[in-house]
Amino acid sequence: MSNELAQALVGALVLGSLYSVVGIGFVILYKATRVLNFAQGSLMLLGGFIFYTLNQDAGLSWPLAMVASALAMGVLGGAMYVLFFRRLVGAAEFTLVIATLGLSVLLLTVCLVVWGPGTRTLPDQLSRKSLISFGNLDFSSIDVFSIVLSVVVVVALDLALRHTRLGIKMRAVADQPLLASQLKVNVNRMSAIAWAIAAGCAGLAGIAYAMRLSIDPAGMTALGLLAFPAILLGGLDSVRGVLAGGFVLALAQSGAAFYLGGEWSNVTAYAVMLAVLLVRPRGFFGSRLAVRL
Amino acid sequence: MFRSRIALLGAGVLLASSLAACGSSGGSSGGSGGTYSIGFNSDLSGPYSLNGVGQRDGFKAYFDYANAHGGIDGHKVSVTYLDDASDVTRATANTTQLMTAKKVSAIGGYILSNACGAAAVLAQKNKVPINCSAVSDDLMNPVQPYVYTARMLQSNEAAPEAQLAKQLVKSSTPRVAIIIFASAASVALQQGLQAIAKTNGWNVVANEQVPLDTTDVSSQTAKIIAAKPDVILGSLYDPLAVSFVKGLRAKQVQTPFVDYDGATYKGGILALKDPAFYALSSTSVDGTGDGAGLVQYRAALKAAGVDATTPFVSTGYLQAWSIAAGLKSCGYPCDGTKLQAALDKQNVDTGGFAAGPITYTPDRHEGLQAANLYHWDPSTNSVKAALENAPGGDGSNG
Repeated sequence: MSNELAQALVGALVLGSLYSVVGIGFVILYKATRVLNFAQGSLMLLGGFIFYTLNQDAGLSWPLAMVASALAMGVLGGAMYVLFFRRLVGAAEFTLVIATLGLSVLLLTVCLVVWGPGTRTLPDQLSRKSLISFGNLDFSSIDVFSIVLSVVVVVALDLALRHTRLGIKMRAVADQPLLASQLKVNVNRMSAIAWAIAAGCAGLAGIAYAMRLSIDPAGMTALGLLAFPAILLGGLDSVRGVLAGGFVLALAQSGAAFYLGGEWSNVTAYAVMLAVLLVRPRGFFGSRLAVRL
Repeated sequence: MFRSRIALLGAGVLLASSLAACGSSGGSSGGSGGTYSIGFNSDLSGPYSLNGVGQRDGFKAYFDYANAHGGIDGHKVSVTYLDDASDVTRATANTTQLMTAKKVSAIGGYILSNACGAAAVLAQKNKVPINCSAVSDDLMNPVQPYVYTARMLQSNEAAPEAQLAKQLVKSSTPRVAIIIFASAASVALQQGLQAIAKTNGWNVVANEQVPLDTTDVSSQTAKIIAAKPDVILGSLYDPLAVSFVKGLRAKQVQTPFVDYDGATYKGGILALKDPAFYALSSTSVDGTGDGAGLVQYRAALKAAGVDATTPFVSTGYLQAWSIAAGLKSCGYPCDGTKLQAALDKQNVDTGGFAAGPITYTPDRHEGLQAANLYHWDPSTNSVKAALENAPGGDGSNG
């Protein structure tokens, strides 16, 4: 493998990891509440700005600032459910999607009012020089951070959903909300937790993005939207599928940019998504849904 | 100290002549009383709002300062600000509202070229000039009577970038890499750079595009590193430029990168502090300097509480200055048709604020025809001009 192809591949793995972290928020929220949240990009932006403030203005070390930002985002996510989306329970999916688009604009405006115009660039917190190599695949500290973060987040959430009482309750709410409530599962609490997890994941993705690039509304909202085809590829309700979908999408984009030119990267990504969905409509790992007609 | 006093004096003269405080009315003025009405439309809440708000702040700072100093020949200027959120449909509705309900004489703003394109049709229909921050070349060539841009066209940034490349690289046949953000305007810049390279016999060793909504430039960076260029030219906005340059430096590649005016002082030059990263700008990047125009600019921004390094503040201010100068020479009252005629004869000294005067002719609606290129100077720990007043050109004239 040539050096330049190896470098492009490393870039694809990092991009795929960012798609995975933001995509997992989509999936958790969809599994628990059936809400497709198109505000994930704006939540990323908010997470990036909170991290910037804690790290650059308050002087917290970046790991501490990251944990504090993710927790703050979790609290905000839960509050968004309690204040807005709890009142929309039972609304049509289209209504909920439009509500999340409205939330996206609201968050963007809040960021603008609080932090003012202009992008923010953080000083390098982690080195961009080679940390480990596999053949001529060179991974810097910032690359390793992004990839490890995505794997840890996805695996931890997958295990939590499958093996903890909280996870089982969330799945119960997603599958049979009425039955779950009759079994004394607090549906509202489970939904608020799902919102908290989704916002926390978006915040973590925003932090990883900000550490690598900048706090940039256009880029973050674009990435938030591109995570959607990634989760469609992986399977809309599959936690593990997020990793596969994210990496396949990123590899398609980077491969096209490398071999065909940058103008082909998104076209190719969407073509791959359509091709996969034609053959496998539920994505790689999505659950089979039986519809009685 | 002496230079500062001279500059302050100059600023006073410039203020008196360009804003024309009460009592110094121009020849065609109707005297005091009556208010000019103008509009502003840009993205104030959408994905490009961080630029649109900066632009609005610069525009507002100019007119607030003008109004506080007596207005234009005694006439205050009322500005209506509307938000298109980067949505062309809203930009069209806003433009219609400003032209028909508010009866404005001119509209500034338009951070996106597609919004400008949609508004251009309405400008022609209602005979109201618009001044766009971003404009596609097809609206400038051939010129549309009611469409202006106070800035330099992006396609014309090719010549200043190439001029700096010649200065940076000693070889007469340098190996040049091009990397551009794939907007319509940047593709025109790319074509201009290719034309100049061809004319000069330069070797274009890499030619990369970055899609509009991309967040990763690893593939393009890898290909450019492999091509081993002597200099890299192009257009990447701040976040991508920062990622690209950091990617190069991480691989020990110190090749200079000359970027377009979408890279800014704060988000690009200051974020990188890399002496081999150059950003083009037709206006002041940080508001410093002794020119009378700069002194006035700083005073207006100070009064408005706006930071001069905020991206697109200078663009909004430049647009406002151009419109105000047009209104002054038009007199009061001034409808869109009369203002258009005045703008077509505009020649305004910007007193160091921009790289040259704002000039329009009936055949050319691009206000600035020269640009400066800035970079970080580690010896002074500040931004420094590497090239000043470089004439614009898109390579079509060699």
